[in-house]
Amino acid sequence: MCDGISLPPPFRRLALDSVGSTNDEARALAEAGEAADCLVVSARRQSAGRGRRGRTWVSPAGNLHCSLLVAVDGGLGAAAQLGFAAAVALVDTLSRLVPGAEFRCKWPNDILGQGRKLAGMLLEPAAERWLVLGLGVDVAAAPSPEAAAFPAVALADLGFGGTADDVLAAFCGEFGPWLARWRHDGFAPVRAAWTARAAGLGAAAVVRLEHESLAGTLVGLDADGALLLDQGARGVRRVLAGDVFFPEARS
Amino acid sequence: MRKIMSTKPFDSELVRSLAKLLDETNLTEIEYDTGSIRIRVARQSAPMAMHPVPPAMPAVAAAPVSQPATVAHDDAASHPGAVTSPMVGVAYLSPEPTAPKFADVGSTVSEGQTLMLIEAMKTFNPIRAPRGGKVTRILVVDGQPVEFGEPLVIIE
Repeated sequence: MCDGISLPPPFRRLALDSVGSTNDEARALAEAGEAADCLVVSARRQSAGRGRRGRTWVSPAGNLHCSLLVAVDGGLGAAAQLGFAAAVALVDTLSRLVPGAEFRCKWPNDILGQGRKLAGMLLEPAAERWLVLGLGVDVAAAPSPEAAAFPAVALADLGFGGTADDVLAAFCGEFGPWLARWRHDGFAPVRAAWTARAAGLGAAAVVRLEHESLAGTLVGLDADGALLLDQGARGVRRVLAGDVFFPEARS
Repeated sequence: MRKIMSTKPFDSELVRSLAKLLDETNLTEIEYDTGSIRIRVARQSAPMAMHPVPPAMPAVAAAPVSQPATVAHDDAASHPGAVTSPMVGVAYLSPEPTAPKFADVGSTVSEGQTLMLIEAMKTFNPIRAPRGGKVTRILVVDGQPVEFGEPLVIIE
């Protein structure tokens, strides 16, 4: 293991140069019995970064792509809640690093900067008791409009002059306390914090599922983290998986 | 309320089994797409808001959906070879939309092999075969919401 920049405790880092996907590297560590709580696997480049449902995550050098290994004992369902804790921590991190811009959480765990997609997460369990929290932040460059389903932006576009390492170190500083809080107090405080930072609550949205799209108004999160979508006469629908889009009215 | 769209030969048996699945799972909608044929079976308990039905066929459309027939699932849940869902989420039978399924009915799987993924809030959990054997039934369709403890697959 080599250490690049040091991260605030309890985080430690395994810095790699070029990998397929940091999530795959982190999972391999877990399966080999070499995982440690709060170990961060980072890479300068990913050749096979992934998003939801096999989508490509564009990962050039200069952007942040890393995966955090977190020990979870509360079952797989509860582990999904950690994505919300990480989203809250990342919004607070970015708001501090780029004071002029507005950052919001977009369900389930994307981050928007000035209404455009800036960061995303992909969570995968590994070897029974580990959760791999993959985090991608467009620090230097956003994907081209053709490559992105949702309008994208990079931190550099918003006036940030720092590096991916700066973002990672600052994120760990924010995420550590949230992780401890989630372990101690459960999902309720995370849910409240996420809701306070959420994009589009009360606004019209379209949620794309695997085989259909739902139109409605975003209500909020239920106690498990599912998205509540008010469909008027059709009632409130509880969405566990999908992609949220806002009609063009939003900037 | 059912709405059926299909191209190619009309397969009433398939529609019937999808409709049955709809009742069994309490879903509001199932879409089945093989590439050459696409069938969507849906029901709505609330007044029709988004798919107005031509006035010509109100009686059929109004046929009430009977009590969900959960018998088949109860059987499946108590089946010794049933693999049940460890969580609430959405089931995916393939790693990505265009990829082949992890496992098909009739295929032989080994212990630890991934059978499907269940997503909740972007956490993708592989459902692995607890033992080796032959997949005799797959009880969920791609993209279907599943509950905790719901039978997913039967391995014999």
